[in-house]
Amino acid sequence: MWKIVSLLSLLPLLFEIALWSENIEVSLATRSNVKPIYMSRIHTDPTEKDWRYFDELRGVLEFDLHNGGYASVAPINQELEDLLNWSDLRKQFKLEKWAKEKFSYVFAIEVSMQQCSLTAFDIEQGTSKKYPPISLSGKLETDSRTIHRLADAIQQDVFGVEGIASLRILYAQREKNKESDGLPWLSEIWICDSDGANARQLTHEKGYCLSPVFLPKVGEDPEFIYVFNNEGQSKIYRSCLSRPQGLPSISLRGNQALPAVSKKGNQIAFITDVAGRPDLFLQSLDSKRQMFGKARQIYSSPRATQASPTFSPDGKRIAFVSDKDGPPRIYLIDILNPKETKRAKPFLLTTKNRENTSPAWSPDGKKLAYSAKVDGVRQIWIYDFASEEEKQLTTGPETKENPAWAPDSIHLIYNTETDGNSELYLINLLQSDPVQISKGPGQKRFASWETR
Amino acid sequence: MTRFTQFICIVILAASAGCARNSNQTWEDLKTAGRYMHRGVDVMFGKEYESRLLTSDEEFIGPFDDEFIPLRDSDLKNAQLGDAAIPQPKGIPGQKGIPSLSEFYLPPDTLRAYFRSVHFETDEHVLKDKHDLEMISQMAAYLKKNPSIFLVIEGHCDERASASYNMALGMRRANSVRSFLVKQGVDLNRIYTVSRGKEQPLVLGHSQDDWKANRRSEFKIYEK
Repeated sequence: MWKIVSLLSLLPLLFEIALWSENIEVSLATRSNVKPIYMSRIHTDPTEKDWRYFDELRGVLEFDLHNGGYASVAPINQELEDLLNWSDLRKQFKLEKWAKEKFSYVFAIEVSMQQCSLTAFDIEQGTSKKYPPISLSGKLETDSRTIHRLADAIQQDVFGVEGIASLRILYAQREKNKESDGLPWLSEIWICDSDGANARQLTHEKGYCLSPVFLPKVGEDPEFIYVFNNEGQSKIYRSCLSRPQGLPSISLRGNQALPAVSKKGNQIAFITDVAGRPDLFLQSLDSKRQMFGKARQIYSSPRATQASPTFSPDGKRIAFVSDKDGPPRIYLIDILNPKETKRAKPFLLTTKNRENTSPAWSPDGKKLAYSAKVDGVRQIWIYDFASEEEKQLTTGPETKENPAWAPDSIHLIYNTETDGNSELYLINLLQSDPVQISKGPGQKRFASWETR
Repeated sequence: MTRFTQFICIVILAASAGCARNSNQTWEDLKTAGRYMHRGVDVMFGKEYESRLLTSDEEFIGPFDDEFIPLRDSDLKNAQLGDAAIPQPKGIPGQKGIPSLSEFYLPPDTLRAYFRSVHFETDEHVLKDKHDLEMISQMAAYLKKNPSIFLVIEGHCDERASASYNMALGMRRANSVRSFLVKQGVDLNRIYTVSRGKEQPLVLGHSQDDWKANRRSEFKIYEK
């Protein structure tokens, strides 16, 4: 008996030693595929006075292309500007001189009569393409959305991948309650563009709203769910962007929190204490996103806390957080057919770090982003299902949580959480430098990316 | 040398190997290793803790009076494990004579002795402080004597774990206190739970004392 016990006690030790012997590697920046681009100033009629506005629009396009994952936009250079002959851009284009500057692409932009047109030159191929002119309204919110769509079209044409610049981001914004009654801190759901601009408040519950998640897009008016704690228990509400007045979407007693939606939009996984513990539950939805059948208890464990589910893209598995074997780690569980007689056993996925939270499964199914504590600071890590490796994506002294994937499975938004400040950061796996996209007061957290 | 001594040596070796990290991490490692070992030994004797999924179409529909389809694992519901899952009250707040949760209020000063906030250890949901446990027992006695009083238990956490995990941990804490009261004979249909995670801290500092003050359960009552 003691021999077996001794052997069992040795196993975790050997396992830990194996982990210690490996150094943490940070190797994500693969800049070899990042193409150098030159983007001109916006050329306008000399009588045009609104050059500051055009500079802002150019900034929007530069941000989108520079952070798209495939291009690096060079700063404006007057000598290079002088190479462009605006009277006849395509015929007078000095291909050899641009080739010497080692740019892969040159984008020349001009605005005339409220029409913005862009000509793209492929220096390696020696070809050019003029995009259809787009109308400008003079309102930055509308025009920047048009520019985001142009950036996505360029991304598709030039790099052959669908861009994510025109997709919006939902998040929760927490602020101190200025009124004397109610909760001391309030949180509402906000929306912004992919570059953090045009932020506007969606919900006006004057309560505590968290964890917004876009439902897969069906019509023109995207829907989302969120958790609303109205002075009492938290419940999952459903709403849409045009009329953001939520209605309860799951009718269960107790608290419901941390919802995740399957890629098809036919299932919601969430954590609820309806049975007396924070357990993992699943609710099926019909084609109209209404509750279908009863919610199912998927996983419960004595003395354990379950949190933060996320679906595999095929909707057959859920990754979630549990502290059933010690500190919180990420487990995988199969969603078995109700007729199956065998048990679904959770499988421990993340072993490199002790404290792992907020997993997010990439839409292509190949990766899992999560937050793990390294040297006392939570960083964003990526688990690769093919190689079964865990890699650290971010560094720095600020705590980082709640990674959310864009539909391209390359971009992530996460939030920092340090000393009462939380901001949203955009990062992509091809260029590892994160960019802060949120501005203004309040803690911005729990981002969710619009689906295509 | 007995086998027992060999075992002790191995444990000491494991502890000393852990010194490469700090003492807190080593202790966490040992606890994790211990839990795995405990599970391993249990499995050898035929005990399993894993959850179970449904086995028939009938279970998909479930009993008419159940609002969800529960796991059918007798282990999970076994009170002998010391962690009985006590289902939420049948009555929905704000409906059929049950007060809305927003109508609950902080107990008046005369009752504060029964409804003081209680505090938890880091990442724990079970109350350990002797005074807290005594107070909860007195609260249970008071609630049994006064059947017209409804109770809301709020679960709060400190700032250190992630915001999302703390929402679940707050649920765990509130429900653990609720189970304790129900085991002492209080009607489960009069006790509601709320999780506030780390979203409503009592103090904003970053010291051990500040964290302890925030790892709490608060109580609100409603007299019908």
